[in-house]
Amino acid sequence: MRVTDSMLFNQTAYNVDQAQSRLQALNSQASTGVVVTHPWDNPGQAGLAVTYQVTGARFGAIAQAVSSASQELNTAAASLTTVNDALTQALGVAMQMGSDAYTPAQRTAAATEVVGIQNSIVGALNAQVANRYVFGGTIDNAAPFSATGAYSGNASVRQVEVAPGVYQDASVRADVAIKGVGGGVDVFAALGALSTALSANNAPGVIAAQAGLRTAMEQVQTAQAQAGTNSVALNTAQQVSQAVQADQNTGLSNAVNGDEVTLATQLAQAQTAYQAAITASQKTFQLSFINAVPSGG
Amino acid sequence: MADLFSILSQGAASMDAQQTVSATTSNNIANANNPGYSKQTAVLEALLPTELIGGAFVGRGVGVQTVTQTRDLFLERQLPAAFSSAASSSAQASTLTSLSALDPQAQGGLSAALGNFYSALQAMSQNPGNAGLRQAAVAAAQGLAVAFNNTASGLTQARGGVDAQLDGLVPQINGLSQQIAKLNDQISSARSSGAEPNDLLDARQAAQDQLSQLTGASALTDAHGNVSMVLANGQALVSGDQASTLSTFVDASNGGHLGLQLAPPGGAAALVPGASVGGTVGGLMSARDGALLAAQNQVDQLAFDLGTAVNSVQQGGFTAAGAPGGALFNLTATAAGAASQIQVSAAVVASPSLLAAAGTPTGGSGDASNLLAMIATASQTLSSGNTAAGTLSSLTAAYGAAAQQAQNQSTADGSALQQLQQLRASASGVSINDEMINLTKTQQVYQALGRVISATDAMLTSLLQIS
Repeated sequence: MRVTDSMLFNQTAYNVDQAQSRLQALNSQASTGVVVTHPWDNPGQAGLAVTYQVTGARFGAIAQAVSSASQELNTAAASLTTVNDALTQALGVAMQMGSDAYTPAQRTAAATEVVGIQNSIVGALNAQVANRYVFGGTIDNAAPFSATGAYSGNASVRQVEVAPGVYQDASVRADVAIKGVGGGVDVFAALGALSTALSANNAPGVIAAQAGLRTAMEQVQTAQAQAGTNSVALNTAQQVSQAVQADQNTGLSNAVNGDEVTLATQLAQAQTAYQAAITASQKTFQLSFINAVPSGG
Repeated sequence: MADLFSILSQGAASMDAQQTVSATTSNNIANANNPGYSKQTAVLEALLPTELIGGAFVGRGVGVQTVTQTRDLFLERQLPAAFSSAASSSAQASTLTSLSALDPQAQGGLSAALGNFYSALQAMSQNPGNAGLRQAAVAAAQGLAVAFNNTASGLTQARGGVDAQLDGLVPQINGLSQQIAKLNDQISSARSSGAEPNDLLDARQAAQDQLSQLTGASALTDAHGNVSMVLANGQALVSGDQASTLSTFVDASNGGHLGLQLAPPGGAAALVPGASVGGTVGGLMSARDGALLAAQNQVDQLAFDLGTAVNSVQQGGFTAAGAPGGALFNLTATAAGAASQIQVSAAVVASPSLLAAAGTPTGGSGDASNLLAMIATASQTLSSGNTAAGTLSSLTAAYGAAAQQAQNQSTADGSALQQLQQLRASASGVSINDEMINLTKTQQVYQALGRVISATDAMLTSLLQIS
């Protein structure tokens, strides 16, 4: 093949351009570690990066929401424990004061103690997490129980998304657990019956109130168990969501980031190729026939 | 018999021929770096003897028969298509890869904004009465709308940039068309004198190459040697010594982007379909009306579908005050232009309590049932047959594939063109080495002819001294 000077120059320029372009791209990748910055760097991985990013954010948000719900549920469970303890205490008072050995004055004092127990239950049931009353159903901006035990919350159950499209109950229905809606007993009514019987020095009435208290305790314990079950489910959901989020983040990293060793090796190869292109150019341009031809006569 | 004076005149004529050879060599060397130049060769011819001398014909020296060009028509016929393809794919690749709006991890990009929007709704779902969380959810909705606006703006700017380039290229194309028409005329006149106008041919070839590069027009040569430059659909940019005028117009049927029309001298302008144009112009139009338009339509459809889905849920719920929810996003009536115009309702921005989190009017401040339904739109299948994230992922990958394909095509076309240009340079280019050898060879002949003249002169002097 006949080789002209412009061919040599053009080919050299082309080769050096190619080597320099490759070096520049690898330099950028090696210095940032990112190999997929634009969709055309790797269309498939770029598409996956979008999915990983959105899905990761979604599961991260789910994990956070579940964590908040779990906190509320744990607070509700702790409050129910307090209520159960208070009811146990009230039942103890009822069993003690049902005996004929006690005087009217002692029963009046016990009635006062029962009122105190009721107040502590009201306090426990008006617990808040992040300024949100946990026992009000979806009415969470006002204390659900009055001092007398009247309930101003609703029958709704709060739910939290534990996985896309999957929902888990995240609150206790106080109307059922405390007020006895659906066939149970009203905890405050049971306490009120005891208090009234004690104030009236009515020993048979005190004994009769024990049954209501026992039913109330069972009711609260059922709610406690339910809260515990839901709490376990939420904890599991939170762990799963966090694990999925971590997987998505790893996937994202794998999709857009390059292997450092591979990048460093490729960069070194590109540097060598660039150096070789320059050296070859120098050698080529050193050779010329011009000086070999005698000038003039 | 051959007289001494005829030897002198023969030497002078031969020196003239060698001077022409030297001049051609000099011209070759001067044009060694001229890309459109084809090496020229002075063809020498022995001058025929006119008389019989002593039973033999004695020659009369040498003269220049012609100056030819070294051209390989097989290669040159392939070059316009190679120029067109390389310029087209290069223009397409550089246009498509100038867009950053669809970068998967761009700051404020759609993927991040979509994730943030649903994350903010999710956080709010755990305490819908919290004013701060409502505010954050509205801000995230605004972030999503702005991301759609920015992406649409990036795509619009990229498409608009093509229009600006077209406007700049059209005068250049018209200039080349006129130049080729004029050269056709000049070449025709020059040929009538019997000589081959090599430099004019080179100039015309260079202009043809540039016009092919810009428009993909092919060269057709008629029986008189005139070259016509014709687009793929047969419309002629140049026909003989007549050049048509290319111009742009605002194409209402293509969103107000520029179209092309071609007017022959004295004729009415006719539409030039984008598909019939190649080269840089074709590549630019292909990028603008191909991958960029597809991405723009897909982003518009996504904004419209997602906004509609969210609005539908929002309007089925109730605000913090128990009133029916209004639209969260202000949308266009159809998908066209939705991404560029989507914005969060000013009423919701002013009062985040208007976010309809509750499922019933009396649901209470903690009712997030409708908000959970709104979050469920993240998993809803849109008109694309995919979720919002899936659609975004798909359109990102599709755009990336189109841009990558253009890049690969550009590399392949560039390499093919480089190869063809090297082959043409090998056949037609100037080699300094060849020319230096030619120059030396000519110089030696010239010196020898000088000696012949000196010797003849001495012989004449001797002859005169005898007398």
